[in-house]
Amino acid sequence: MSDIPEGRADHSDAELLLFAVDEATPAQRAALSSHLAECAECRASLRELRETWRELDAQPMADMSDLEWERALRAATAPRVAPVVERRSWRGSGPAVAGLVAAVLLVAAVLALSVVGARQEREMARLRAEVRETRALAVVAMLREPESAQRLRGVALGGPLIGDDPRVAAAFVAALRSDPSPNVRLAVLDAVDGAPRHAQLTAEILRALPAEPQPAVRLAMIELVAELGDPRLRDALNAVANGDPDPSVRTRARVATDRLTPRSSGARQ
Amino acid sequence: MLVSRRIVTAAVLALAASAPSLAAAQQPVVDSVRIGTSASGSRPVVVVQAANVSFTVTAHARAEVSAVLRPMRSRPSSINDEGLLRASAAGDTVRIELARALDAWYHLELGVPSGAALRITGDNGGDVRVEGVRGSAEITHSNGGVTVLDASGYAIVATSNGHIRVRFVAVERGVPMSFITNNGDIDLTMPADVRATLLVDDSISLQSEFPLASSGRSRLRRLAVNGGGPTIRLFTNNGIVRLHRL
Repeated sequence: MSDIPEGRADHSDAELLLFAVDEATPAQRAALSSHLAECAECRASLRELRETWRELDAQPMADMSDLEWERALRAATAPRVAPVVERRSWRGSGPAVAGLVAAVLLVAAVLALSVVGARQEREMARLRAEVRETRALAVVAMLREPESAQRLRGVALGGPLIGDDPRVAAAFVAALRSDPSPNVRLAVLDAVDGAPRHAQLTAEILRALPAEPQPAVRLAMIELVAELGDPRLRDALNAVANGDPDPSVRTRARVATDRLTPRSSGARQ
Repeated sequence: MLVSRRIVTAAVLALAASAPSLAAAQQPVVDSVRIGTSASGSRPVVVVQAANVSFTVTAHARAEVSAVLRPMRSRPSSINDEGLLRASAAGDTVRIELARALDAWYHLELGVPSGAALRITGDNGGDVRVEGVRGSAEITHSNGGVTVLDASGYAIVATSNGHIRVRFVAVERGVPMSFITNNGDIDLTMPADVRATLLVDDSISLQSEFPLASSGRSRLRRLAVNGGGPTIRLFTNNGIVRLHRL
């Protein structure tokens, strides 16, 4: 039995979503264009999807709370979209961006709430957990994308989760160690800088520092480590101050080492 | 008088910037490749990886990638550089690489489809100059400046030493960007109506033709352009950042 509702064209809503955000393949685009010319229902869905995506795009992801995200997505929860999302036919849609996948899943999550009709605290907590879970999975997936821009998006999306979700923290550490783009590695450090302090992450930053090829990223690493103010990190910074090939990095490490050196009472006078 | 002096200065600077590629242009071609991109209609991805090479990338309307390699200086005729360039294609992705490490500096002239997503990884060898690519430009380099002109997608650039100059005629909506150099200035030109949020370290000197609305933490400033939008990270350890309106 076909899972395509009666009267519908042979396309999935994932394809419609890809079309809405200009990610559809030319073949999908051609097929959908001719269908859309005849189907008012699909045109209406397309309009809603585009509006939702615009709302998501307009906001810096890292600054978007889960609740804001839910609100933006709720705008797209037209009944027309629901059954197809539940089919999860997007799984076969090829290289759909992970954010898109997250958006589709979140629509399903928000829909689940409206289906049970429950706005109680317990349901909200469950939904939040689901959104958080989806977000974490999306971050991990996005950090594996071949395009640096996608990975930058992943970092922005995952920043608020670093302190809570070990999978996100681990993905950030992996990016710090081996992402080919210095821009992504710097973005990871920016995200860590904005998150609650995390001892394991700091240790990982120190570990990654000597192997980091880009001086600008090493500078950011030193800043982050120094901001912790832990005198036990002094030796590691001292090694950088004496051994880094870049003079500006050595100077910054020296300044950071001084910041971590406890001043004697004599020095204060 | 002042104007004419400026013109002369600009002309001299422009000449100085293009001098290495001009010098290379006078050298004979030692190797070249040409490879077609997929005709599927999706954005072709062009991945280029080469050390000790300066790059010039120009856009064309053809569905192919061409690469021409010239030495920066005359080479003894006994040296055979044939087969240095290697080109391959898989799906929408075309790869241009070197078959072996270079023992001298070379210049690589690339022609790519105008809508290509360009990914260049260089290391030493001089500057990277990209012109007219309307897809995207992701460039990771060291010891060389990076110039991206008349772009209309997005760009992500990093170099350890060298200026970064990027001029957009249009910006792809919703895509974060990042420009980092350890030593060098960053000049970023964007359309007047661009919406973005700049992330800039507090210690960096910034000149802007855009009105900026500041917010955020003390070390990393968040500066909204036209109300804010996708982030643009700007970092230089030794240089200034200039934002220009197109």
